[in-house]
Formats: sequence, C-alpha cells, structure tokens
Amino acid sequence: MRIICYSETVSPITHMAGVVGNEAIIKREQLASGQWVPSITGNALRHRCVRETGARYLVDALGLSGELSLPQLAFLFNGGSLTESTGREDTKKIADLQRLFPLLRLLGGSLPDQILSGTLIATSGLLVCEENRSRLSGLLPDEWSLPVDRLRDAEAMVGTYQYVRGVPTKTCPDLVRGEDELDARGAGKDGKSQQMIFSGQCVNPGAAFVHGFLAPSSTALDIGCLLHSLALWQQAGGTVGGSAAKGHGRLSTYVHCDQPIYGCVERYQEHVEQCKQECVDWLTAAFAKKKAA
Amino acid sequence: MRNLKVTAHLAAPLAGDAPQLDALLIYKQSLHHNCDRAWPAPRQEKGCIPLAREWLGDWYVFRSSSPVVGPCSESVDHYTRRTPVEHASLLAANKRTVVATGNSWTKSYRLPLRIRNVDRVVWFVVGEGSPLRKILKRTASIGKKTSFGYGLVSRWTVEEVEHDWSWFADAVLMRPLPLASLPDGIIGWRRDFGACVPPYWHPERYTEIVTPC
Repeated sequence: MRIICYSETVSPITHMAGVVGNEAIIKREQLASGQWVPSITGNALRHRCVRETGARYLVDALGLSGELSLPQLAFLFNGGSLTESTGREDTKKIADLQRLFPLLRLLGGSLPDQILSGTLIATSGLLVCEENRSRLSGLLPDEWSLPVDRLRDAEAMVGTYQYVRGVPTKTCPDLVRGEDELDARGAGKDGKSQQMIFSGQCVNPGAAFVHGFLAPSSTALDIGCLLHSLALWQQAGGTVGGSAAKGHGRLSTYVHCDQPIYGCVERYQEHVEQCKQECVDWLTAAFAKKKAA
Repeated sequence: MRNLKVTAHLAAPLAGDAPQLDALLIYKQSLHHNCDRAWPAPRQEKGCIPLAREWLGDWYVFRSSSPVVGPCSESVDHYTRRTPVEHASLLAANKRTVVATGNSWTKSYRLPLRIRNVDRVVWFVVGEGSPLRKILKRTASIGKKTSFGYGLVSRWTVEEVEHDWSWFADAVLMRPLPLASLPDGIIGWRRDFGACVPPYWHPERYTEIVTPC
C-alpha cells in the first residue's frame, strides 16, 4: 500500500530544529546538491498523523480512558519501552496483537519483555519547491504531476514570527501581593523587565508539503486504520510541529491511495467494536505484573 | 552465476550505514526466523540466497562487496521521545504517579543520527540476477530509522558487468575477509576484529579480519 498526501499549510509551520541565539530555527534537510530545504521529519508525521490520533481513538473506543497504567499509556502513545531484563519472543502474543490491533501492526512498539516491529514507513514531508523537484517527481503518484513552470524557491516560503509574553502583574496590578509589586515597566526587584520577546522562523501559509506512507503487505484493515487516523488528525486541526496552541502548524491534506479504499474505514471501526473485549484483555495481560517464581 | 552490479537508487537520505548485501538478502529471506546474541549462531551453510560463496579457511564467505557510497554531504539529525504526559488524564486514578524524565524507562531522549545525502548505493556481487531482483523488490528501504522515511529506495537495478569486483577490485579490498586468507599484494585494508559472514553482529562470528579502508 502506498498513500501519498499533499498537505497545504494553512498557518505558519513551526517544526523546529533548535535555536540559534534567540531565534528558533526550522528543521531543514540537506539535499545532495548541498542546499538546505525546510522539511517535516517522517518521525513527526508518523506520530502526529497516525500514532497519536489512532491511539486516542482506540482508548476511547475500548473505554480505557482513566483506566490505563503508565506503561500502557506509553506503549500506545509513544511506542513504549523494553523494561524487563529477560527478553522473550511470545509468538502467540505477537499474532494476537497483529490480529487485534491494526494500528500496532503498522507502527510496532515495545512491550515490557519484547519488541514488536511495525510495517509502516512514513516519508518525510518534502516542501513543494524547485530544489525538491526531482525528489517530488519520484514520490508523486502517476495521476499527479508537477507544473512545467519553475516552482517557487524554498527560501521564498520561509518567514518569521514574533510574539511577546506580557507581564501579568502589569496588566492585572490589583492581583499582585505587596512584596511582589513591580514598577510601571513590569520590572521586578532586580530592575529587569519580566516581558519576553521571542521569535523564530516558519514556513509561510500557502506553501505545500508532499509526504507519504508505505506499508508493504498491508490488509484492508491496515488501510482503514491508517485512513481513519489521518481523518481524525485532520478533524482535530491537522497540526504538526510546535506552537499548535497559538494556531501554528495546520495542514490541509489531500490523500491519494494506490489501492481500493472503499469501505476500509468502516471495516476498521467495526473490527474495533467487535474485538473490544479481546483488545482490553490483551492489553491487560501484556502489561500484567509477572508472578514471582 | 554472473558478475553483477546491484544499485539502490535512493529517494531519501541514508541514515547510519548501508548494509552488506548478503546480510540484507538473508534477513529478507528469513524474516520470521529469530536469532539472538544469546543463542548459538546458525550454521554458515544455512541461508539460501542467490549469491556465490566460497570457503576461506573456516569461513563460508559470500561473493559480495561492501556497499559503495560515493562522496556526499553529511549532516546530523535528531530523533526524540518523551513520555506522553499530555494524556495523563487517561491514566487510572491510582496510576497517576510522578514520572522521572531524566532516568529509568520514562527518560526523555534526543538522539543524534548520522545522515548522508547519497542518491545511490552500489554493491558488486557474483550471483543470479533474476532471483536477486525478486528479493530486492521486497526491500523498500535500507539503513537506520527506515520507519521515519530514511533510506527509501525508489528502485533497484541489477546489471551485468565485465569484472568480478565482489572481493577485490584489481588489488583493492572490497569487503571484510578473514585476515589469514588475505592474498599478498592487496591494498586498501586495515586489521579489525569482527565478522566476515552474516549475521555480522553475532559474537560467534567474530574473528581477526581485514576491512576496506
């Protein structure tokens, strides 16, 4: 299965790589030509588009909200960790997991005593720009083609943002205790202003990224799970990167699948509904404390 | 068996190192057979892949060169993980404990990853082209962190070539070989302690070897 997504940015994308001085710098990928082009990592897309939304759906559908242990929460939402010193390969447990949880068959994860490999490959988000033309043509499906005219250069789509964190004691002075009073500029006892200006780079709204998901040997349930997770991610705002609470990182995504997808999502939802109790039992058993010998 | 040049045309940067082709093929052919450091290594004769092999002393070595990666720009990427505390409300009331983010299994991390911007990786082998293509067709990516999209292979090509460069390209060493079996006059090698037959990571395969440098 090969799903290709065309994601238009509808708000500034702030998928950051780090900080230089006081400015946050966006994640860039170096091309063979030596140029650095903004990108979104496959790891981030895999987590935000599939794992987080898919796991949240499972928790709600299985009625596990407020019932999970920390290892179960970590297993579902970030893949979990191998915590036991004695590793095992319990083939029945793996087979049951693959039958019950298409999401985890795609993404894999780590139980306390064994690592389960996944099948999903999430490609990184390629910015639709002239520098990426050859890479884009390799990724796009046959039905989609790049315009013959020159695409915009990557740097033309990079902008900046700046915010100011205000001083609440200045805006609400009546709520401040006497010893914490600040002067008119919002400065504390040390005379320094508490106000903070922060800024960084972003990919401007109106740009677009192409990214994809490849899952060899996938079933209709796998496709249904993946598409369902993508739909939930879009419904929740379709965000990637940081500052989503400020409205950043929103993507509007169009999906192309190279296999028939009719009814796949419904089949996945039915599957989860039908196997509800089995799924809960499996999760409970997989994370049950081992009895002392 | 013919002299072949196998090329992986990459659609994404390569993370970590490219694999030995014999190891990759054996892995693909035995995906559901487990192997572990704690268990004895499988017999060397096991592993049915369409590459020629020869005994060199105690080692049954495949006629396959190490991966050849051309000059390329390099960078460092990072991958991160942290405990999903933003979903703490999903925890059972009696499981809402303090999470250590600096140690234990809940430790957050931001780990570096060596990235190479190569457009192709090449191996020289002696083997059978058609079955080789069939196995390689099932290989979507190579290197580390392939689930993040690194090392994505857009296509594999297998071409016949005139020379056999699987072990030596003229007098230059092309793959790890046992030190004791190194012919005179070979250049481009250094001594090492490691494996020259798959599984390359298994301690029982370790011996005195020479590797290309």
